[in-house]
Amino acid sequence: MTSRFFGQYLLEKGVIGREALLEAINRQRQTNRDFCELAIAKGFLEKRRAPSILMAFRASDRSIEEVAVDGGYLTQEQVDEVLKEQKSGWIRIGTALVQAGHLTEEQVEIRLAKFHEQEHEVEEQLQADFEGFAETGTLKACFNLTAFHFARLAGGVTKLRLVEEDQAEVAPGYQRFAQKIVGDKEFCLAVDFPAELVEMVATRMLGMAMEPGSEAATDAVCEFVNLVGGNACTQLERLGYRLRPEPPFSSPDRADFPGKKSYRAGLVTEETDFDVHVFF
Amino acid sequence: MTKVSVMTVDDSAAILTIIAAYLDDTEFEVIASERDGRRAVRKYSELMPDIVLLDLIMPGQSGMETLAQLRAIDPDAVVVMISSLGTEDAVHQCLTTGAKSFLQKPFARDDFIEFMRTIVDTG
Repeated sequence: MTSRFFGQYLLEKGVIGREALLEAINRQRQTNRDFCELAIAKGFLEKRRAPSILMAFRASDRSIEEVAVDGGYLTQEQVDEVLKEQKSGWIRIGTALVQAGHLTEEQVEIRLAKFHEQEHEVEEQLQADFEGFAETGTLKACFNLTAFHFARLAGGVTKLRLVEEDQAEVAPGYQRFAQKIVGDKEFCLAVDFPAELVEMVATRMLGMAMEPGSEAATDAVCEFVNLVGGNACTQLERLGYRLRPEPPFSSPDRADFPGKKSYRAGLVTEETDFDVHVFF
Repeated sequence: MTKVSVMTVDDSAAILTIIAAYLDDTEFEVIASERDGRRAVRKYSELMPDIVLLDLIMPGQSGMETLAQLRAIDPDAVVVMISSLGTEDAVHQCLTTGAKSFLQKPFARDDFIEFMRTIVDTG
């Protein structure tokens, strides 16, 4: 799964302009109908029950269809019918651009191929088992993107070794960098780096040597976490979540999240290791 | 040759440093860097840069609020939003509020320069 939206990629490349993208998005929003809206229109779901489905959907990373069936709101047959109708009317951004006359189908096909080729598909680097975690989609996005962006900076291979629930205290000699994500769900991403990694990440981010412990180094590593958090929000939009990151931070008095459920992933590189936490 | 003037606005000093380094020795010149949206709006009025690179997520006055104010001061302001957040919602909101374009982080130097040239070429 990429962490970029195709329409924005086309805009960035200068293939389309602002007006074309806005027109295409607006066209999609007029045409594409969401699951609950369709279920209500078909008489399968009472309007007053839709908020409950959405709340249950946001509390986990299951699909809305699964939530609807498991919660007894809809039968599987009803879900299948809604999905069939939704799919038949759904248009992607490329199609919307073609329908609006801004690109030809061939141009979209060529650009989409380049997009997939160029865009870094975040590889599944997980060696850990996510069985039994309710928030699998969120955890995968956060942990995979941390591994991906770290590997991009550091070179070499970064692998996820472990995922578990834990108390998430900052180990001695480590510094925590965190970012809160808000919107349809709230969670906090936190990366604990040992001192030598703080220096390395800061240096690689800026392309110049950084004084360990300096404000500039801390700021640079916060920006690293910001990359992960923002890209994770973009990726999770594909699961149907509207999220946005708050500014990242690193400060001892804000680094602990008492009472929050926490998952930890251990990341291993050729030379060292560090931890990533997600708090819910 | 007159350089294209750029003002960068981001709460992260790291990003301001990276962008300045990327634009060094090009046809672009960073004439101001601000870490605060309110100050950026005041500076814009003084300097009237050709392009503003504006972070979306900032503490205090947000990138979106700053964008709206810049466009209110100068309807012809060329503002490009930059963010690690590249959701369809975020992009749509920024463009609707008047941003000329949107650049998602991270970005490599060559891609960034090419993007900036596209911004200039498309007026």
